Amino acid sequence: MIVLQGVSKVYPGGITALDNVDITIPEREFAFLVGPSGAGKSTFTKLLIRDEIASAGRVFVNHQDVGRLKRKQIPYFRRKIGVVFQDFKLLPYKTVLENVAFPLQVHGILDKPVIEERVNAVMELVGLPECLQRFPDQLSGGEQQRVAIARALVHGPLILIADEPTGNLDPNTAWEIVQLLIKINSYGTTILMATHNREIVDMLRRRVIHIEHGRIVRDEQEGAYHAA
Amino acid sequence: MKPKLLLFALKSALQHCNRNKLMSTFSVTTTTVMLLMLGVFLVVIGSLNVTLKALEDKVDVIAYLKDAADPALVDTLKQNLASNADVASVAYVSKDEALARMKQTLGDKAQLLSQVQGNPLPASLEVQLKFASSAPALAQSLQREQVVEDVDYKRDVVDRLLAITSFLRLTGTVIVAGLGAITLFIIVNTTRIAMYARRQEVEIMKLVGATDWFVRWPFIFEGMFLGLLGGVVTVALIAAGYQPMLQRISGVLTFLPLAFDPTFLPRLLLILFGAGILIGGMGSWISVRRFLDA
Repeated sequence: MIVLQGVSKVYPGGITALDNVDITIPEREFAFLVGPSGAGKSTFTKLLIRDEIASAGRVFVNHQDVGRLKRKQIPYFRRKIGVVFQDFKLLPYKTVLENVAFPLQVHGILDKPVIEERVNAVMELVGLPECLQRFPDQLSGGEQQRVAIARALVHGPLILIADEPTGNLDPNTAWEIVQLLIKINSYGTTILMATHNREIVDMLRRRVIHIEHGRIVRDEQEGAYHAA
Repeated sequence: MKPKLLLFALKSALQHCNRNKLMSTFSVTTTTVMLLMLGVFLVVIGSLNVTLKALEDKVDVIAYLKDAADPALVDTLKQNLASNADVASVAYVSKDEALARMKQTLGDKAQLLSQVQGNPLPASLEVQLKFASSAPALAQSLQREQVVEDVDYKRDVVDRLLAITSFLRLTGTVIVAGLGAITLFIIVNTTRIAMYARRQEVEIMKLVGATDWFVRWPFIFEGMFLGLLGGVVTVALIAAGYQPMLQRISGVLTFLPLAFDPTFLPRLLLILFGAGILIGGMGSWISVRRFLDA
């Protein structure tokens, strides 16, 4: 569950990225966050993972007041969220297995059999069960994003935040990734996906939250990329 | 931090060194070059120290005794000197011995002594000091003794020697301290450059919920390990080159009796090992801290 109450974000230098945003995304929902570049989509997702702090208003994720987290609490807070990025952000000197296992190790799960079982399950889910020993640069973009999604899911987060996850992928691969996200959502994970991909948004008809100049200009269930 | 997590951090560190051989080699080379500079200088300073000590050991104070001195009092003085903390040894030289020595010193011209009536040479106490610097004070106190006629300790020579040795020691210490600081600075900066390429890794680790220590330990271990490797290479080079190098130096600087100190090499090796690990670990820590705070 994600709740923003009167949230504004002003960066040093006076640039307003978000302006008095109110929104609630309930559990198990699949929501798109759309809008032009610079509208505030990235700021929105960064606030949710405490990569940025709101200048005003309050942000709740999984019933935790994100702005009030102490520095020491941040790692533990982030472990309940999965994040996927446009540029995958895999660790280059770790194999696929090690990349996906990393969030588990961060949790203190270091037993090899436990790790392998969890990693195998999630790699099966993303459809890449055979690539465990390869390094990220030996994979295609689509495969890297699947690994990144596997890493975001391996510790069973309640919420998956995807910031332009298809931005670097060709249309077919992008489509496969989105279908994967839908499958994950059907198992109960709340998903918020920031995107520019009009075809995908129009095809899926899910909730669409449209941001422009830091304000929510449209919030539609079963919406399209552009207002009807 | 639990032992299991530390072990995991150690494994991650070694794995990264192994997978990123180019950067690892670069780090080890830099560390080796810097430690080698430091090590060679320490070798020179160390040998010089042994030499200076040997020179200072040659300083002794001679107390010439009155002919009429009471043997019992002389004996008491000798025992007092022997128990003095600054004194290495005391030897009594009788009038006869003094004459015998004089004859030996004169050699061919010994018959000159036959021109002299009786034995004009006084008996004496020869005092070997532990530290040359205590000579003036000891000489003064001996002068006040009843049985002592005169005290000789080659004041000029000792003063000059002490001036030279303390100057050399001070210079050496300053240079070693300076080199140490430069070594630390260069290694920290090398690590920092290496770390800069990995700031995204730190960022990713934090995004998936790693605590600061979970991020930090692998980097620290990696720095320590690469520093240790640098130390090992340096130590191997110095151990192989120590003897030939000293011989070469003493061949050039013949006036300085550079000496071998058998305990010096193991001590040096320990210092370089320690310096490698410490500097490597600290370099990583300082570097990773910047990305954690960012």
